[in-house]
Amino acid sequence: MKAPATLILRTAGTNCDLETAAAFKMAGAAPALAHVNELLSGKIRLFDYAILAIPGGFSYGDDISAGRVLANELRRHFKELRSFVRSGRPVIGICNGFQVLVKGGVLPQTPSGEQVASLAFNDSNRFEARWVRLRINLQSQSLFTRGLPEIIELPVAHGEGKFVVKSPKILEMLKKSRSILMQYVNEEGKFAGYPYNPNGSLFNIAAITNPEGNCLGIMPHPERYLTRYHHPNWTRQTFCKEGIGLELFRNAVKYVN
Amino acid sequence: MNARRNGKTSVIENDKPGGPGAAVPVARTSTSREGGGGGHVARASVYRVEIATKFGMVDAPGAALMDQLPLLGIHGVREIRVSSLYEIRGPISANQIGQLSRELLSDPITQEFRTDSSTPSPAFLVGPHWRVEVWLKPTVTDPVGESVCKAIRDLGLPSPERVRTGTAYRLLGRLPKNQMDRLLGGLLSNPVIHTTNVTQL
Amino acid sequence: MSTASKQRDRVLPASPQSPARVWETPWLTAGPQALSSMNKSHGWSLDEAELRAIQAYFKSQGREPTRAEIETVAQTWSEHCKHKTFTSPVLYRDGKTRKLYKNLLADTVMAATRTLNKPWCLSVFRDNAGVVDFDGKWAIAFKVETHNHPCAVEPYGGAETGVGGVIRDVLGVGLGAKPILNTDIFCFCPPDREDSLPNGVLHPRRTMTGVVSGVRDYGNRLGIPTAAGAIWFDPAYRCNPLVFVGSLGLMPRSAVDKRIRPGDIILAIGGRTGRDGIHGATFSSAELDGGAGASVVQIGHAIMEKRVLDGLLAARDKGLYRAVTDCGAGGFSSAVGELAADSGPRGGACVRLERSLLKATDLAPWEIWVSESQERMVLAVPPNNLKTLVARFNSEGVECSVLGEFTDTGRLVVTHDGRPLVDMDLRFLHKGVPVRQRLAVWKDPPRTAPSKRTDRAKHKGELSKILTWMLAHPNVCSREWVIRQYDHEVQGGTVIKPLQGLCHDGPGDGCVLWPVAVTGNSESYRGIAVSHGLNPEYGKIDPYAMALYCVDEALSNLACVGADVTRAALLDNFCWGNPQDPEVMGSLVRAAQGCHDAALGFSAPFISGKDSFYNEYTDNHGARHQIPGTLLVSAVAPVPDIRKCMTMDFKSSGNPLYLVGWTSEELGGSLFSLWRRRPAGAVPRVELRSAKDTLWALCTAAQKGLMLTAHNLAEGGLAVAAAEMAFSGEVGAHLECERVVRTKDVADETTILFSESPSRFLLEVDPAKEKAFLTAMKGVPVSRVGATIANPVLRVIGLDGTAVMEEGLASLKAAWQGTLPRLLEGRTRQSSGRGS
Repeated sequence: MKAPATLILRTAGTNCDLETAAAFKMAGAAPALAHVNELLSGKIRLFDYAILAIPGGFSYGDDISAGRVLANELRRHFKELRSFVRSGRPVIGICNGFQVLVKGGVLPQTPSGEQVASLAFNDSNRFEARWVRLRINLQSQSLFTRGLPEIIELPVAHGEGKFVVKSPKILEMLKKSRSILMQYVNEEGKFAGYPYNPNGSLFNIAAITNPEGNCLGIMPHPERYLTRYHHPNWTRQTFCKEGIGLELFRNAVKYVN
Repeated sequence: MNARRNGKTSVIENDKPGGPGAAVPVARTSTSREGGGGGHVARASVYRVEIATKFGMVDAPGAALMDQLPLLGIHGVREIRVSSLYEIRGPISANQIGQLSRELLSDPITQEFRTDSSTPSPAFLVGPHWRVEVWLKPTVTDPVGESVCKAIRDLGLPSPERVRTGTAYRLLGRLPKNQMDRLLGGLLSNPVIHTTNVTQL
Repeated sequence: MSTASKQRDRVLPASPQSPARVWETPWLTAGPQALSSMNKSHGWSLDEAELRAIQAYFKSQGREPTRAEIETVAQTWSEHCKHKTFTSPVLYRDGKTRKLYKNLLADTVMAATRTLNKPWCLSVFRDNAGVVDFDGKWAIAFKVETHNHPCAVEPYGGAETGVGGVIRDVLGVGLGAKPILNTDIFCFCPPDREDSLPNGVLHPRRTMTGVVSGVRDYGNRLGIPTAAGAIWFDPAYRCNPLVFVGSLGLMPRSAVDKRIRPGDIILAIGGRTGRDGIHGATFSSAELDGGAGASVVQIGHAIMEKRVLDGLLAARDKGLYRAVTDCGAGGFSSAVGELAADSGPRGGACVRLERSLLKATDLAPWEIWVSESQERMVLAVPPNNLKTLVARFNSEGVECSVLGEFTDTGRLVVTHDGRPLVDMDLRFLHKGVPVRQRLAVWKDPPRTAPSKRTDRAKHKGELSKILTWMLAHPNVCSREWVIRQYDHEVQGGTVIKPLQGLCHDGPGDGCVLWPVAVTGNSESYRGIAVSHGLNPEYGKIDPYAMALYCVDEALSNLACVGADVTRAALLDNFCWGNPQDPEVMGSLVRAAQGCHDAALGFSAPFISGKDSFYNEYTDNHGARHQIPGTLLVSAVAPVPDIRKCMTMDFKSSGNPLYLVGWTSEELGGSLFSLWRRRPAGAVPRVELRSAKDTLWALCTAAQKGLMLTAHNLAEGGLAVAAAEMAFSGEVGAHLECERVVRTKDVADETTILFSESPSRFLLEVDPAKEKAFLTAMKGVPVSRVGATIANPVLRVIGLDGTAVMEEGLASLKAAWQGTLPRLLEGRTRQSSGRGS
């Protein structure tokens, strides 16, 4: 099996690029870090890659608002990005990458490609880092979550992660197309307020996908849970499997192969 | 688009009632005057854009400030609304300012904007309130301003000479002048790095 | 242009040929008074002897100095850059004892490092950070700085630029290390102090929230986890908050040394130079007087620094430059001046200042030379690599400017548009500062009578009440409000996190990183542990005992997470008052001597350090407010196998609990003495030999995986530690006072529960490994003091065999968690439990 070429797009302020690359490497991919300037100047081409990841961080300091400046910089390339998504190749935007996909109108996926959702300031008005429980929508087409259990744990770390939509119609569309991939829940798997939902997200949304399931936008950080030693409670558990976050990357690689 | 070219005045100055708080000049205004010589700007225009949270959306920074007020012994304020201010100086047309306010500076889902000349949208229509503007002093680095310059160029618009950023607070409710001063010095600004402008509207 | 800068221009030299116009009074003929008045009006913070030395130098040169030259000397000789207080000769008097230190720092802290002479210390006390070996291939660089004065004036910007500066120190050590951890330690006034504040002093709540936000925004944006730290509250920090910021980096061992050659190009990278930050170095040596100038305080530009970081490390791995250093205090003048000293045998540099990139055009040349604009670094580049290197930086969006080249003329020469600005002998600059002997006097504080019976808990219920009060005390309570705002897991390597336990909210002793994303070696389970020791309360009684305790606490914390303490390295940070006061110096000498003795005792060398003086404030009425002498000890050690690491939360019921270490009547400076509001006897004193044996035995047991849980006993003693372990694991505990190993003078539950005797640990042991554990701990005072229980309570059996405390874990935890949210956000005001 050939290791699929994976583009990890970075720019000033990207800061989860190394661990995202490490995750793809562990999953069997061949990750390449590239600066967004290399894409814009044509030095590298999107379609030379089988997988695209936009990692977390504070692109351009999250100045104006999170992901806004990078989304703006990529605006002339979103057409290409959308056709990359249409080609069925896996695309994952994590945290800041999710914010970029949303502000660039790639997710939620609409015919016009306009921005119909946003990730606003956390209700707490603070950056927060904590582990959360997530319920995966098992009906979703997402290639990233195949074979995963319904409830998983991952860490979040963001100040602007509150998912909001332009109108109730958008939420209906997301529900109907099974695009709501992960929701924040409590220990019993039920919706609960803060801190289980760390940011006040609408409908407790933590991650969404396109209906076809190959484009994922996710606020939590799967690349920070690759081994059991990343879990905050690993010293309490006598047995513990590998980090569940790694599975998302493995699924992407498996899908391409 | 009903924007009009307006080099010298700004919506903020239009709001000035001439009260005691308004007497504080904003340093950057004098900078721009100096550039044009004697108060008139010929080439580069100066615009101000304000971005506010839509009504119905949580104004998280405002809500967080509200929590702090009791600690300062201030109890009469009903609501605080926080908005971002941008002062953009450069060879840019008013139409272009409208475009970049819409496409770049504001979020179409959660925010509304106003420029020097746009019709005020609902987020900007509030009852009587104190308005506090806090700007970084001209000598203080403004990283956000630099990012905005870059982003304006990315939009394909003319490169601004300078972008400065600030924050506007609108405080609704009962707030005597002495409490306003305490709030300004105790929470909203630091004279070491900020210039401020307080008006009662 | 402002009036102030016009005035500055007036004294700007056209050229050294017409120097007479430069100065109010010509330097060569000026008397002491004239020199002193110029010193004051220009804000150089030079003392009389220094002014005379400069005068003598220029007399020997036969010409007037230029403005830029005096500024260069003032920056280079500043307290911040030269540590002239700490490196001066000191005559110490303690009663009848007299001792002369030729160089206080070299004779204490550094002497211990020399004596220990560890082969794994790769670079100590000479570069921007201390460097020790990690695994033979990689090296760890660690630096902790203070940024107190800027944070007092503008907490957010001060904290940001402080973090930015210490990160650049790590980037600027050797050929640059990749920062993988930030630390932050604060000393603040409690935020609920409502008494009136002197003019110009910010409310402590504002200081704290501003500083936390600044550390958060800068560290998070750079993608460096802030995962270790401490906070100490004392009203004495009301006017002078202390903000310690640290950064730890990883670098290939081949990148530890700089190798400048004459002819290498001086390249400035990063932010442009502006009027911002002029006179920061000399400002940090001056007392706060309420009128701090705006130009010394900046807000940071984190993304600029991130670009520099990305570009620099990529260039390092391609071997494109031969040296790098941070442009910190003193700006170009000290960055170029420092690197120039290493260029060939004599050193030298030639700078053409007009080539530097500026933020504003109205800067006088001397201002460009000393400006401390943030996010800049200086490199020494072989001419052949220049083009490639500049292209590399430009691709990351980093601007570069060629400032000149390094020479071996022995001189620092700076010109601007062909006009000479500086032409000085490097030896004078770096070695010419006159040393002045300082006087240090120590007087023991009035001996406090050994605490009397009346100081003990009067009835059984009171023990619970005291414990609840202690858990809610600002110096003990949960730091979750702060820690959650930091991205403490970015880079995906934080395997022992600062918040631990079943609900991820218990107080960890230290953090452990597993730097696979940097080393790329996922086969290796080697990690890095970091911790701290700090307790200024003990220092008020005896700074010597405080120093021993700080080292002991930092190392004990390392042992608790499973680090190899035999390989621990230490960093010192001294924050003291005005060193011209002999009693302040006396206290400093005792702390420094304590560091020396502790380092030898534990066989743990200091590798880097920093000091900050003049932490005092003169208010409008002329009253001086001085901080207590405050020592921070930071510790770093490799972890042989992160899979054997431990956390502090009880794991399950039915496991034996062991207390390690002697419990003595040591309540002086303790939390209990604060509860009683009176001195309570002897300050905890580390017995170095037994403490080291205990620590090393514990470390061996940990590496064999013999313990389930370990927690260091600190403020509040056994009771607080047991409560924290129990509520973090949601597992109850049963403790029997009678079983505690104690000295003869300990005869009551209050002392057993709340004494703060050092070098003690509470451990939870797997019953199946109990025997092996006891074998490993042979020769160490250790005793089975109880067990974990299913019932979620903390139960203590008194010396008479009856229960003296039984408190539900939920209520203990609620008390512990409520404090910071209440103090900082005003959430539900509740009584702190203390009857007042």
